Amino acid sequence: MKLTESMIRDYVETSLDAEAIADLLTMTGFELEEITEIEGEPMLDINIMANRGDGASVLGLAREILAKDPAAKPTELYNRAAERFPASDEHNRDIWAKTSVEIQTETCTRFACRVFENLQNGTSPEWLQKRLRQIGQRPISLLVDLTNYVMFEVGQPLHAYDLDLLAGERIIVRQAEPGEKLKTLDGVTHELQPHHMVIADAEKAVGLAGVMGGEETEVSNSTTRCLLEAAHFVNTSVRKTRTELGFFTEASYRFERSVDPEGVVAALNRFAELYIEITGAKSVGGVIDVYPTKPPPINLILFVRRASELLGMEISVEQAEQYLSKLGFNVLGVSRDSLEVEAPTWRIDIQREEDLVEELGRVHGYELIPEELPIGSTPVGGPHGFELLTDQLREAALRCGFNQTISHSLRDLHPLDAPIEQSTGLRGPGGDTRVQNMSLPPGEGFSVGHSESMSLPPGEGFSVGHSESMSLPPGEGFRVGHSESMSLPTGEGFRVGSSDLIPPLEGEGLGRGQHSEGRTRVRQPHSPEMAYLRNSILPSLADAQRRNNLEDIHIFEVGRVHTESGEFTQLALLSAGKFDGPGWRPANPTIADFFTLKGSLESIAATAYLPISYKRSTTDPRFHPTRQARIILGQTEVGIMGQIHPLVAEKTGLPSGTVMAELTLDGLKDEQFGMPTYHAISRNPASRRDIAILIKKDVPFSEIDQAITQSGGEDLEKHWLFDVYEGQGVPDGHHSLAIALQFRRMNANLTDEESNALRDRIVTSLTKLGATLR
Amino acid sequence: MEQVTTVQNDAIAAITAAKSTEDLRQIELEFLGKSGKLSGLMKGIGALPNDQKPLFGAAVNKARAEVERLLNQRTDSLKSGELTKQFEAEKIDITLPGRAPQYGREHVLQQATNKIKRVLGSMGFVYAESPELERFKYNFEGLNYPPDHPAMDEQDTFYVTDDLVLRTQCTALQPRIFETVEPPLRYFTVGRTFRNEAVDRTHNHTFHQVDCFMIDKGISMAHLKGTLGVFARAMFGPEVKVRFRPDFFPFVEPGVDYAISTPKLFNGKWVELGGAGLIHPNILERYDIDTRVYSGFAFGLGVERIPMMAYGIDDLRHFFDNDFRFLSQFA
Repeated sequence: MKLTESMIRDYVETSLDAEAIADLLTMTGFELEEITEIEGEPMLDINIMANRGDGASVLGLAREILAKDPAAKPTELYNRAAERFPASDEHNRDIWAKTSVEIQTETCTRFACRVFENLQNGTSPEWLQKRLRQIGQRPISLLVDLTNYVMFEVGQPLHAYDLDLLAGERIIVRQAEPGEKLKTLDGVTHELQPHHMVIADAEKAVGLAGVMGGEETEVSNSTTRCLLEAAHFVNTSVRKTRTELGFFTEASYRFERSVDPEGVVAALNRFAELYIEITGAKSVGGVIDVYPTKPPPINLILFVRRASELLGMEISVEQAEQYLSKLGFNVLGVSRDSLEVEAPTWRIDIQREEDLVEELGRVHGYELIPEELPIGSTPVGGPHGFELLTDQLREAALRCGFNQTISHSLRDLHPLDAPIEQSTGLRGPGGDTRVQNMSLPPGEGFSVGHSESMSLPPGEGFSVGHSESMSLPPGEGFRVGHSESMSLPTGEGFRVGSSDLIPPLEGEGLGRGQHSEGRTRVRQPHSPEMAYLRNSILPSLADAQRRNNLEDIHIFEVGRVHTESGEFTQLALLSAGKFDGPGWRPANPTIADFFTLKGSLESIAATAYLPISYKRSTTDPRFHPTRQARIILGQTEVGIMGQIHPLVAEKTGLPSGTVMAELTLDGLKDEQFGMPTYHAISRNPASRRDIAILIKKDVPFSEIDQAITQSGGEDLEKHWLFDVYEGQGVPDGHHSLAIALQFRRMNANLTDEESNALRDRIVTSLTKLGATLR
Repeated sequence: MEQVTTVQNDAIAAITAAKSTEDLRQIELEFLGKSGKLSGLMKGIGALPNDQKPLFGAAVNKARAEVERLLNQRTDSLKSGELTKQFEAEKIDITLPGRAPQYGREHVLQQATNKIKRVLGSMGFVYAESPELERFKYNFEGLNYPPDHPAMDEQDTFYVTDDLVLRTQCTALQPRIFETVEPPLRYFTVGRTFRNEAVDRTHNHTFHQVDCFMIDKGISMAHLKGTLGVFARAMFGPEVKVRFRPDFFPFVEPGVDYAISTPKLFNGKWVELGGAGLIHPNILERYDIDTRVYSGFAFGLGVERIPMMAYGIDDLRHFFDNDFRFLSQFA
């Protein structure tokens, strides 16, 4: 809303300068957008809140200044505006003979008009033209300029029709006919629908109600008879019409925010007053006012004590009465601690007592509210439970040398999207090992096929096929939860949020309707790059690698992913190349591979005391089929890790050695983890024995590990693998493993003989697995 | 006796001629070792007459002490010279670049989020989260949005179905909490919000928001101002002042936007941070919270704004682009 300083001073006498007025308006809620000097005068551009259409007028803003500035005084013009420009009108009886008005739709709540005859349209006087120019309105002709000017003055949009061009000299307010056409003042022809409201004459639409008039019936310099419209429309109807047809007009701006239904005739009168003043015309025609639905008055009781308590500052009954009166409230009654008031008709935002509390606060001044801190029940703040665990895991990933990324949830499809199980349509991210028929996102034109058909790198000794540990009972789907017995009904969403406090999504059918090809898609995205909600964070990490174009990169993200089963919190990592920075004396650099990532995952899990284990997998098409593993936390399968599939690496441009992991954390919500176990420390010295064994490569190390732990017993403090060798001197299909054994006994020293015996016991257990000592 | 003097003189001459501490170690062995020249003299003591024995022994011991003293003296003097040489040889260029251990860098938004969580958590607000893909009833309806409110348009809000939207505000946590937790209560959240709009320097379709709220007996605008004051001073410095200005949001009444001012930012100009107010009684009533007993406040703000203000970042898109040239500026 634009207005000049002199337009304000027409309505208010105040010693404040334009800037001080702007500050005052800002503090009443009508924020100054900018103040500029135009044609030698300050012009204010004020932002009008969505529920305060009354502020889109000089009159409304003047009212705020008068309420807020105790030294300000209303001008005579303001007082007449407050009385709604009373005009004696001797022509009232005649006007129905000249025209008729009919409202046929409920979205028009009032329609009034005034007829002007023996007109001389022409150019406006310079003062009027200047003011319009200052507020960004192009002067056109006296009649048009006056409609604009009065709208800015009192907030009521007006429209002038050439009465001789109105068929039957009639006005009908109705919904448009299907396909009805109207050429608006801007020269654009619109095809209308029945939910668009129009002003029509006896034959056709002549204006879009509340938005813009029609070109055919507009006033011109040859106009001698004019029908001036002032009406009131339902704001949502106007908004819908103008957004659909792509309009933004000063009239619709006001109707959307609401216009005072009681100010309709006042605006007609103000127009007539100015018209007479400018042209010297003796008299103008009377007023037709069709007002089928007068809104009921809103009467409210305000307890001033309660208002003071809610505002946190003291306001007396007298002050409250004074503030509300100045804002145009009709005070119906005053008691010792309460007021009964009737809300002004231009304040549709006033509905209940708390709305009056805000009025008191605004006028009294929010700057007077003191700062106090709440007392009373104070919980232990900050994150707890699952949110705390998520924080711990994120910080652990940082400590492991991974850089944190934050990427969009909305994105396009990507070869690293989590595969979708089409058979049941229920799959948590990285969750189900029974993945069959997986395919890459549609439209990618890229398929890696099934594990069985995948070729293995030559010389690799892994067996292909499903590992025996990988199958879930049929029909169980993705297990996220604390116990084996917990089963989820198909389509039920998972909780994302604070432990028990956030209600689940009530089985509201996240799987219904919005998915295409098992993916969550938004209906009207601004661009295709933001059409899908990601079902894995790995594509985002791949994007980050591509953006930075680094061969050595170690990144992670914790964020939400969206699948048919619901929304989950995922931790995903991507690692490639050297861990050390580009230093000037490179030591033996550590290069990311399956085992560096595995080690990082173990370190991350260890910071939260989460027991982590792995199951061999072959079936996730994003990963190298013989270098991938499902991740198990506690009893729950939570994700997958491994080296990128060479074809996916090619497709995405990622380095072929890239390793990646994705873990869904939601399954940890109900698990009872997070406690360290204390072991007493022995004061006695340790003894170490190293062994080197030859063993077939297809014996998993986990079995060796387990045999050592079991046979070592309590005296085996720890053991670790320190070399893996194959090549010269090692038979085909075998490798040599060097393992350190550290023995220590509580409260006793181990003799050499005892240590040797312990070692031999372990070697014997390994022999049973087919190992021979080197 | 002359023997003693001769050996002592030989030793002194050798010590004087020594060029390194290594020479001195040899001299020590030669004269003072078990079978050294001075120690060897003691072997001859048996051949002496009894009355000569103590005198000879004393002379050897005296000579020995003297040689030891000179050895130590000479060792100290040679050692300092040798160290000086060694240090010169081991000189490094301290301006060569350091080799940093690799550690993970926290995203600048995470850094801001951590600070927010620390401050609000320490004030007794419990951290909670709610879904990004939110039900219409929590994002709009439960927050007192009138039907047909412009914010619900498809042009502004991402719809997945009629009932599921990408949350347009983290305020959507409030109805979820009110449904399940009896007051008194204090909560806050930090999360992503979504608006269906084109992306440029100052607009992004996704950004982060904080939403913080509490309900208790007698909660007032003064409590809101006090809490915001403590929060803003913890975030932006002890000189920060907080200002309220009336504003309209469907879920608060009275509704304000709050601005902060500090000499450290923009010359003390008022900078708007977010919206706030008392939780709208329509919302409390909807969730059966007795408005005669309880009232509450709520405030929100954008997370990106905090580093933008603090570091002068001028492009909102940086926060989701994961460009290390940007991220690595914020350790």
